This record gives sequence, structure tokens and C-alpha cells, in this order.
Amino acid sequence: MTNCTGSPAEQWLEAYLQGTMPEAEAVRFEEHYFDCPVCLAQVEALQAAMRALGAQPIKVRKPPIAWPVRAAALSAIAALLVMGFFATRAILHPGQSTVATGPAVSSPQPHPALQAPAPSLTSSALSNLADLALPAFQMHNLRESSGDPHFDAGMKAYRANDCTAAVKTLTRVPEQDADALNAQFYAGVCQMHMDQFAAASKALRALAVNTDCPQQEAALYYLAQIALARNDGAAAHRYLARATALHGDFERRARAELAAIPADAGGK
Amino acid sequence: MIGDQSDVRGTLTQDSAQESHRLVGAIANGDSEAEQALVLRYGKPVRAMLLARSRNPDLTADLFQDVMIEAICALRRGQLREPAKLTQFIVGIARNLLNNHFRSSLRRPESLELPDNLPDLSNSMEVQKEHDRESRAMNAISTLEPLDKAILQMTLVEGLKPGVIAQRLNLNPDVVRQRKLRAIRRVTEIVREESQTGSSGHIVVGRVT
Repeated sequence: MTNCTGSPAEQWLEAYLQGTMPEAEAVRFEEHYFDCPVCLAQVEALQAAMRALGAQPIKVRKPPIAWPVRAAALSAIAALLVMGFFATRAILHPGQSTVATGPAVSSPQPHPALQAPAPSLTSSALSNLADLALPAFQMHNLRESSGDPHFDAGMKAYRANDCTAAVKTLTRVPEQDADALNAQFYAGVCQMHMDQFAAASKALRALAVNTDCPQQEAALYYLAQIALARNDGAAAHRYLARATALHGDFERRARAELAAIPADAGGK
Repeated sequence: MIGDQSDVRGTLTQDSAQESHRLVGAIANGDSEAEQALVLRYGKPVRAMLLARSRNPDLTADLFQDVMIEAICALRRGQLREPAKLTQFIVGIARNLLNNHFRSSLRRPESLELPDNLPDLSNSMEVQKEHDRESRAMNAISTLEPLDKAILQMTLVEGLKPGVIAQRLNLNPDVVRQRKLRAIRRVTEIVREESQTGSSGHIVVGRVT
């Protein structure tokens, strides 16, 4: 029998199937999955995906340029047109000043709809924004159980809202286990839920800097929640901005919170 | 790269080694059921390996039979001295036949001794399973967001790196890495999950979680 939970395949599958893995490593991976049904199933699944994509290719369209870039380009064109207008006028009517000499006009007021919304919160009430509820448990794989008993027990406690037991068990999941990152994430949010912000931040920060970690975005979002709970608007803004930049599941929530952080609390 | 070889192999326990001993001994003694069991045990990984290395389903089907015939012939002759190394032995045969194929423009089937009473090496059932897996993969891909589908295609079919994909899609490379990782996991897990719930009768050595 094998105790493998699929870590070798998760780590090397893509490079192996793309042929970018060094030969010696590829042979070792082959010798592993020849006797490991878990990793073999992953190899077969991704091969099926490659065939499916090859048979019915998806038309890839470049997304439109983000609106700030487009707005900047339009502003530049508008500025050039205005400059051109005044330059032409100066050439055709050299005696006239281009400076308005009429009665003083009060500076135009922007349309109310375009005015920046008033901050909805004072900086001292930032903690009201913090979403410290436990996120629903979403197994990144669809297996009913992990290979590690601590993870299974920890997530059972998590689902029962027993954060103390969950943290105690999840922190015992070995680092090399396929669910180690999941365990670290859920232990971190449990600590956050129990107001153990220092420990939670430590766990989540490790995930937030790991670009190969599927929980990176969620970790950034919950780090922002911790910062909000501590009334640290600048840190919350920083984490939320990084979370939105990943355009993932937390983007909308993070954007809404970014908009609600007042400027005097570190919001831009 | 893949850690210490012992780490990877360490996951295999005695059942697998005992099964190897049993198969090697039985095939050397002319047990045809053991030959069939060998084909069941190694058929899927041999196909997966040949396909991964050749990317050619037709060639995979041809070479699969050659690999199994050569392995059975060698085992009948008692050529494998260390039964515990049965897996490496099969991997080696598959790799050698594939390399021979690529080295030579002419296939050399005459080099194979074709014995009588070979186990069933037909792959019609496996071809059907592959079609099923492919349609499940397509269904899984259809559940992804358009951006994730695009990233998956550019990664798996076009072989592009996240940096290049990021440039093409006006995205941050970290975003591409995250989305690629999630999409691959989602698709492989859905295909695997459905394979496991729908599969029956396949002999596997080990625990399927």
C-alpha cells in the first residue's frame, strides 16, 4: 500500500507533462507513479485535460486595457487637443490674450455623482469593517479525506467551530503533507477568530508571500481583516490592494473594503 | 527536484514488494494469470508514461503492446534477478523501447520474441476510459472562468511560462501562477474524483484517498 497523498504529482506533474523536467527526475517520478495510484490518477487527469484543450481549443482574447490606463490615454489626447486649440488661436489672433479676461467665474463644481464618496467610517471605527468570521472550509481537492489524520481531525473540529481543538490539531500536520498549506491557513483563521492576532498574522504571512500557494489571496484578505481589527488602516489597505491585484475569489470583498477605508486611516 | 529517492519510494510499503515477488516468481513458472495481473498492474502507468513522453496516442498504443510483450518474455525467461525492482524494470523497458523508436526511423518489431499464450493486451476498454476522462476534463474545464481557461490552455497546450502569459493577458505573473495552480488542481481533482467514483474492478496497489 502507499501512504502517498499526491504531493509528488502536485509538485512535478506540470513540468513532467510539459517535458521540462530533467531526465533523471522524470525517471524517478515515473518509478513513483508506476506504484502510486494517487499520483497516476493525477497524471491521467491532466493528460485528459491536455487532450480536451487540444481537441477543442479555447479562443484566447486579450482582456481590454484597464480603465485607468484608458482614461490616462484619453486625458493625454484631450490635453493635446486643448493645447492645439490655444496654439492655433494664438497664431490666428496674435493680439488677443489667451487668458480669460471676462468676469470672474467661480471654478466649476464637479458633478455630484463624480465627487468622491465621503468616507463612511472614521479611522477609529475601522475595526467594524473587519470580517473575522471563519471562512467556509473549501478543500482544494475533492477528496473526502486527507492523508494525514491530524488534518482530518482538525477540519472536523473546524467545521464544528471548535477553534481551539482545530488549531491544536492542524498545527501538527507535517510540513511535507499535501494539506500542510491548507492546515496552516485554517489554523491561522481560527487564531484570528479567537483574537490571537499575532499568531494568526504569523501563520497567514507565511502563506501570503508564497506565490505558489493556492491560499495566497485568502491569506492576504484575512491579514487585512486582522489589520482592520487592529485599526491599522494603512496595513489593511496594503493587504487589500495585494489581494485585489490577484483578481481571485476575494476581489469584490477586498475592493468594497478598500473603498470604505477612509483616507485619514490610510486609505488612498 | 524530487527529493531523496528514498522519500518517494518510502511511500511504498511491503504489500507492493510482496506482490512484485509473487508476480515475478509466478510468471517465471508459467502462470498465465500472473501475466494478466502484471498487465493490469502496469498497463495504466505504462500508457501514461508513453503518452507523456511521445505525446502521440497512436504510437502509445503500438508501443504499449511491445513493452508488455517484452516484459513478459523477459520475466518468463527469469531475467529479473531482483523481484523488488519490478517497477524499475518495467519503466526501463518502456523507456528503452521509446528511445529506440525515436532513434530509428524504422520500427523493429522483429527484435521482439512473440510468444504464444499472451495475456489480453487489447486496449479498447482503456481507449473508452480515456474518452470518458477527456469528456470529464472538458466538463471540468467548462466550469472554469474564461481567464482561467485561457491560462490553462496557454500553459498546457502552448507550453507558455507564466511571465509570457502575463504579458499576453495584461496580468501580473503572480496572478497567472495563482490562477494556473487553482485551475490545474480543480480540473485534475474533478477528473480524478469522477474516475474513482465511476471506476470498478481495476487492480491497484495502494490506497486511493
